[in-house]
Amino acid sequence: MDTEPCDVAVCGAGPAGLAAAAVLGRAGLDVRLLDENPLPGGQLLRRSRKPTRGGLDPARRQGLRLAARSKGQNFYGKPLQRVIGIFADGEVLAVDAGHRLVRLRPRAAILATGARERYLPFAGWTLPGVMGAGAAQILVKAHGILPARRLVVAGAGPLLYAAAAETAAARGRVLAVLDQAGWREHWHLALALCRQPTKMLQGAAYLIRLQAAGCRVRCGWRVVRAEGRERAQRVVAVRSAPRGRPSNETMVFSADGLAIGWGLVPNLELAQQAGCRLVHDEHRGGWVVDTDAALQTSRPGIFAAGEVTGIGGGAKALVEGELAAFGVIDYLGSRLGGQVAARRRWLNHRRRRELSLGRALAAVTRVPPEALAGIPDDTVVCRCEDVTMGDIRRAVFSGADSLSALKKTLRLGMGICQGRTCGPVVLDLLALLTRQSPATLPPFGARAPIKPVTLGALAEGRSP
Amino acid sequence: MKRAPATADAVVIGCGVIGASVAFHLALAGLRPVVCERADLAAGSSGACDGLVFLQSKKPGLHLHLALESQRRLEALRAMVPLDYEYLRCGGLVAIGDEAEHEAMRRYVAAQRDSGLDVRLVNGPEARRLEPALSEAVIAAAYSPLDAQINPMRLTLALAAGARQRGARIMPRTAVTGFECQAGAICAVATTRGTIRTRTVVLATGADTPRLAALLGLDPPIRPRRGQLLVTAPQRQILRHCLISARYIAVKYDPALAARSGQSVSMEQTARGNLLLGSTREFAGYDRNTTVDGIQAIAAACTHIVPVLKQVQVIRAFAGLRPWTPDGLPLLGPVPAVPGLVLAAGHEGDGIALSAVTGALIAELIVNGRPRIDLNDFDPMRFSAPASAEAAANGVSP
Amino acid sequence: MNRHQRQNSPAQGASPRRATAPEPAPIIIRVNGRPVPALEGQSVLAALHAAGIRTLRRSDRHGEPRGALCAMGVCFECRVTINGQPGIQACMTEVEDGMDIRTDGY
Repeated sequence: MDTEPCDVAVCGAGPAGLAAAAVLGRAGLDVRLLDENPLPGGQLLRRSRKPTRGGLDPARRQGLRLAARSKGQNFYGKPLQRVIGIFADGEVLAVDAGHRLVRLRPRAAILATGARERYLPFAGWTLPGVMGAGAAQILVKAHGILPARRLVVAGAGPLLYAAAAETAAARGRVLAVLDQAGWREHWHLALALCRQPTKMLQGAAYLIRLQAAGCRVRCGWRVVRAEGRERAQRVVAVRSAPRGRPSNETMVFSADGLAIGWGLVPNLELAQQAGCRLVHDEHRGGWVVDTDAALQTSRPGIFAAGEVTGIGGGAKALVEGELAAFGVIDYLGSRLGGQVAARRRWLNHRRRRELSLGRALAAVTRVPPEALAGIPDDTVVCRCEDVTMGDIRRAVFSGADSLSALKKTLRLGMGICQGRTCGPVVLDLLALLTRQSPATLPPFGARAPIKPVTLGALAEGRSP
Repeated sequence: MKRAPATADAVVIGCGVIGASVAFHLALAGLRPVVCERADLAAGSSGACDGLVFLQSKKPGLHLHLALESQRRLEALRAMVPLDYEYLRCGGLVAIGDEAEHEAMRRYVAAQRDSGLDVRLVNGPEARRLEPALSEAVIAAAYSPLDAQINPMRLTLALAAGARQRGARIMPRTAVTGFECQAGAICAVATTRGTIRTRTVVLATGADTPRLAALLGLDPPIRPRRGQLLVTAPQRQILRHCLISARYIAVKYDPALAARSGQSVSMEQTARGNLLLGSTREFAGYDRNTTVDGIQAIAAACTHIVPVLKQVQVIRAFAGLRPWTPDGLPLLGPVPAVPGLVLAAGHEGDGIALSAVTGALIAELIVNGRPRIDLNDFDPMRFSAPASAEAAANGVSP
Repeated sequence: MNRHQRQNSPAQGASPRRATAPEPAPIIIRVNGRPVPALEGQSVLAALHAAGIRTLRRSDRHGEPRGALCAMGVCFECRVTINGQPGIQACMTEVEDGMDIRTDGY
């Protein structure tokens, strides 16, 4: 099968990818917007096929407008194209819904692969019924299905409140929101939000809705156990004592659903596989893609936009999508209009503002050492290969001091999710157990295919 | 950062499977070697290869003899190291796809039997009785019950751990930056963690050997040959044996067959259930990237022989750099030009299978002055002497 | 600033059409041989969740029950067998009428 030439491959149709594709399309370039989901919009705008409004959030409103318009454009003709690699010769390999390969040879690419939730392992977190806060949100918002009859939401960060409030709005019963961060971290977040009144209002609206629904909102509490046979039936939480002192204050909920999340981590796999350099910045969510001012990565012609350059939310993603598109237009030697310089200055100004919000988010979702140290030995950490906390402690004790060493001894991160679920937390665990700085511990690598693809699809049309 | 010790009985450079095995056997003999590894253990080809301990793929004669000896040692070593390396003598099949291959394999199998290998040719139906997943495209096969498979990463870690238990010092993330010589003989190794004084240095640096040898003004004829492999999600048992295609052997030893198009195949199902499917053999410099072409070629060749694989999911592809030599045989032994320097490199695809015997023989060479098996065929200098030009010409040219 | 925004910002485009979308059509899928109702456009995961099905497979090492975790294509915990093809992510696949789904995989 031949490769199809085009100007730009935009990998990811979330806010960043949509914003980039819109600018590139207007510049007359042949753009391909690739995403594994059936609808454009990414996680921020994930929605049903029914028309939705953006609500209070201006980023959501703008994103929805872009998504709606993109449907009529030639570049979003085919949804469900899952990018599985960008190769050294520049070829972008994807696989479509019918398990057929799509081979593109773009002149430039934008990586807008977004973020995923960070999970912290605890006893019973593999039980069915324990799900990501994002999963609960998807069920209730995109499908109108309640995540559970009686739901507890636990972890850290603003997404918990969104998931809880949206479940409550759909008349779901939310027993409690247990936020591991204390009031002090929230105070910093509130200060950062002062410059973003709509986000502040949205947060207030969530809290009012939860209050009205009779949901308990507790800060400084963390979940330690989910119990049940075959599925979650009870949730046990303890109060985090200040400065790591032990606490025996506990709460037990009779719940059939537990939604969890500790903030977001960027989806770096495509950038890593493509050979783009990473950089560690704890204020932007740990390891992120390293870019120059024009958002070009270390690999010429490959640009990055949105959460992959640092966790900062939808508004930052929209701004960066546009900036990356301008960068690509420059790179391809196309002409930019007269007002673009001013527009870029303004976008860069907005970008800095959104990055400061990301910094506050990172502080609120930071996992405290005592939460990591308290994971029991028999708790599964790597869900694909069933590697337990005890396995990790023993391996570290016998000298494993890098992710690569843990991987080779334990098969940790070598399963079908390729370390996406356990990788971020194992990095924190390893830093804690070996007293190394997370900045000196490289994350799991990523190789093509970055998501599974059948041998049949790879072999199609090829003689043995 | 931990400093390197000031002196060592021997310095082994490289902690892949060969370096770990040399260190283990030196420590077993009572020496205290130091292993300098520039990255992590098994970071090179030993962590990016298949796990075949395939006897049928060894050249009849001394090569096969070494492989048989190595396998006996791999079985015995299990009791001497603190980590299980998933050794399984599953038996192996060489799948034959057409009459030309069949003819070449008849000669090849006869020579192997003369060398003492338990191997026989079976027809298509018999091959499918042994391995029900094989397609009709397989017209015959060579079968040996002795072929085995292993987890190469765990083997490397196990040998390193066994060496450490016996007094070896393993230093990951320690790069060698130079050598010091006195009257032409090696007297010290300079590393990023300090200088180690020693009279014996073993280069077990696989495809990276030319770079290190260049520090001593040497250019051994080892070149990186890229091998790409695919890993599938864990499956219930699909394969009972490890399996290679006759092309695999042809590419190694038979220039006439190697010239024909088509991808050679190796397949094994690991203890965990993942299938490891390989592999390409390409000269691409030190580029460890996988390619669309390589991935597709492996997928097509494997699904042709085992069609049920079509619906199995590939979860990653990777590439390793095999240390190729002109005659397909490793470079084992001292380098007269630099007293104190010993080479243990150039195993191409045989490093895992030959690891145990290589370590044992190199240790004997260092401790006793000569190994129990004569290593003349593997003399590192065999390509520089005019007499060996013929041997080089007989090998596979790049 | 505003002038540039007006000229370049995609935000100034048309608002989403508020046209009344047709109600999603009810369809039937088969889960482990039993008929289960679903709605067109739903993900397989949503349909199974709505039917009260939480366990989607067993962990292959210890046989423990596992269900969806991320629901956004990352964790691969929700893989099921669809029309004979094992290992398909329920969260990333839309239901189709008559689809045959099995949750007894690993």
